[in-house]
Amino acid sequence: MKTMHNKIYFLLLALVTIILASCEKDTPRYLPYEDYAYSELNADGGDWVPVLQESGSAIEISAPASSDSQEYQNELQEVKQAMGSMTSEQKKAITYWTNNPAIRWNEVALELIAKYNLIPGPNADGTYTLPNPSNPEGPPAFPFAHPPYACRALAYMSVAQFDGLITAWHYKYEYNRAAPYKMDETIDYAYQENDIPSYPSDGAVIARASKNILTAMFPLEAAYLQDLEEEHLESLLLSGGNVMSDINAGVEIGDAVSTTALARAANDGMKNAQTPKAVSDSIKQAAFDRFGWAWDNLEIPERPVG
Amino acid sequence: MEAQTPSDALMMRSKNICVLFSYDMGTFDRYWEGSLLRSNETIATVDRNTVLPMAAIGILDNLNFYVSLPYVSTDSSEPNGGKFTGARGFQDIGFALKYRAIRTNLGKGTFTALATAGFSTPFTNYLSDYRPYSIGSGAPEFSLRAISQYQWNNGFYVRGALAHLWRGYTEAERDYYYNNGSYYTAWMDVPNAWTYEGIIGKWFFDTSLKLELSYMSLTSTSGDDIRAYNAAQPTNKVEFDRLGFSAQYFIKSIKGLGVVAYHNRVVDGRNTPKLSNTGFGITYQFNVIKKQTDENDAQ
Repeated sequence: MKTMHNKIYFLLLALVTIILASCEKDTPRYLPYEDYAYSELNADGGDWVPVLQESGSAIEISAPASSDSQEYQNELQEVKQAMGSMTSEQKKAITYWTNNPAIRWNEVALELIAKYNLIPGPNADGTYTLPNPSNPEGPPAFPFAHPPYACRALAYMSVAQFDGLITAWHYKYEYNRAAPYKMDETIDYAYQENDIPSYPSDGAVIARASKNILTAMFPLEAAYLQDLEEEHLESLLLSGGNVMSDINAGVEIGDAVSTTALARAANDGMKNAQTPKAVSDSIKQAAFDRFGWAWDNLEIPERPVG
Repeated sequence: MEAQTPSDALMMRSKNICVLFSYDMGTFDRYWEGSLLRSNETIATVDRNTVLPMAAIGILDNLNFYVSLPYVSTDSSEPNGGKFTGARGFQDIGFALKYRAIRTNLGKGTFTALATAGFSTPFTNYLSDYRPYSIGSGAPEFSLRAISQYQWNNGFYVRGALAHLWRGYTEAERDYYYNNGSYYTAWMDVPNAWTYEGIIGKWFFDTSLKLELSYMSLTSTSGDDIRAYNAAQPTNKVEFDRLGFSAQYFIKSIKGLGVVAYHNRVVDGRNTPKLSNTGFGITYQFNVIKKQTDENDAQ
């Protein structure tokens, strides 16, 4: 009987071990890409035609301090000090944001679109309340990120990034201030090295422009987006690719391009695209008058739709 | 469900087999969205019916083996606003080994301690990410359960059980999902869970009728909440408290035959239907070696 007991215990133990060990799966939270080398460098990127700005020089960015100045040397020192005392969290952030952060910000946008792609439910009395940007908490929460809203959010973010990068490129090659890791051999760049001047910081343009657009599109996420922006801006400095004045100039461009984009968004007619019951009923009646039939909504309770 | 199961304290003698065939009718018209109990005309009232064949095999007097394979079908009542079709199919095949470690006379009764190890895995490729119609979680599950019971000589007994359920992953038919953040994969991690059970019961008429009141609680160790007016998904943090009543009667005139009936109600929960279910079953026990069937080894 003793050996029988031992066999049973062994069997149970083996079963537990096999089952627990066999099934850990990787469930990635973001796309697993790392920094990479670009196949070519277009130094004339500042001449590209922006979407909403007049040109790459439309936003004024003042000249940076010369690389010989004490001011710049202090900034270099600041980079070296910060890099010397990085936490493992900060190192992870550098790997995460990579040298193509536009993709990361698109992932952030996708996450918020998924989070807010929830059709508002009915009230207890069978009516529906439309999401309202002046009362984003709701219920229902603002926005309902249905596909047209999602496309619009992504479009404004991409336009702001695009215009901002053209502006950054214009000034990079106008002022030609090299990156910290080019100025000081003791600084190791975290990504693939290149010859792109670092003032203003293109990463900071992406960070600020994306944060501003997404904050306007998803107002309840302001604090979350602020945290992401701060982490991203910090990683730019800690990567050895930017001094603080590079980042500040990029942030300035990001603010300017997103202000233009959001001014356009405020008057693009999206606010008229919702259908309260009166509008829905009139559309339905107009369709019936014209064609002799109209679509019925089959939800319970019936939802007013365009 | 209430005959000799992996979660009770009954054991069958060596070389005995007990087969159970039961029909379970579950229904709900409200569910908890996070902690909010709500109704939803999109799904109206959802019915969930289960046919459960199960066999219990006495390997040794103190070691029983179980195999079960439920067939589940789900559907919404008419009218409903969602027009979703129900689902049906064989759910998860389950295997369990129950071992009685202690059985000793103590005071005016008998103390029993048992342990059960169970494993189940989807038998068919059903869609798990189709709540509330999906017939199961779509993930393999390994469970360990500790059971102890004290039965007085007058047939009254109390039983407690504690189990941990390790659940694996289930594959959804989408390559991205939101679970408090983005997941770039079709694989969903089904949360592990603890269950607690407390039972009081009594045998009547010379151990031919058994009546039980049960309380069961399940708590997931991780997971997200169902979002507003949105469908549930396998990653949800499910919790519930359930009360139940069951009766089992062994028909003396036909040796080995028993009938069982029960009713359970979920009384509190999180991310779970407020399900009521009622079931009926028949059990038949026979000895595969000897001509004569043994009495049910009840205590």
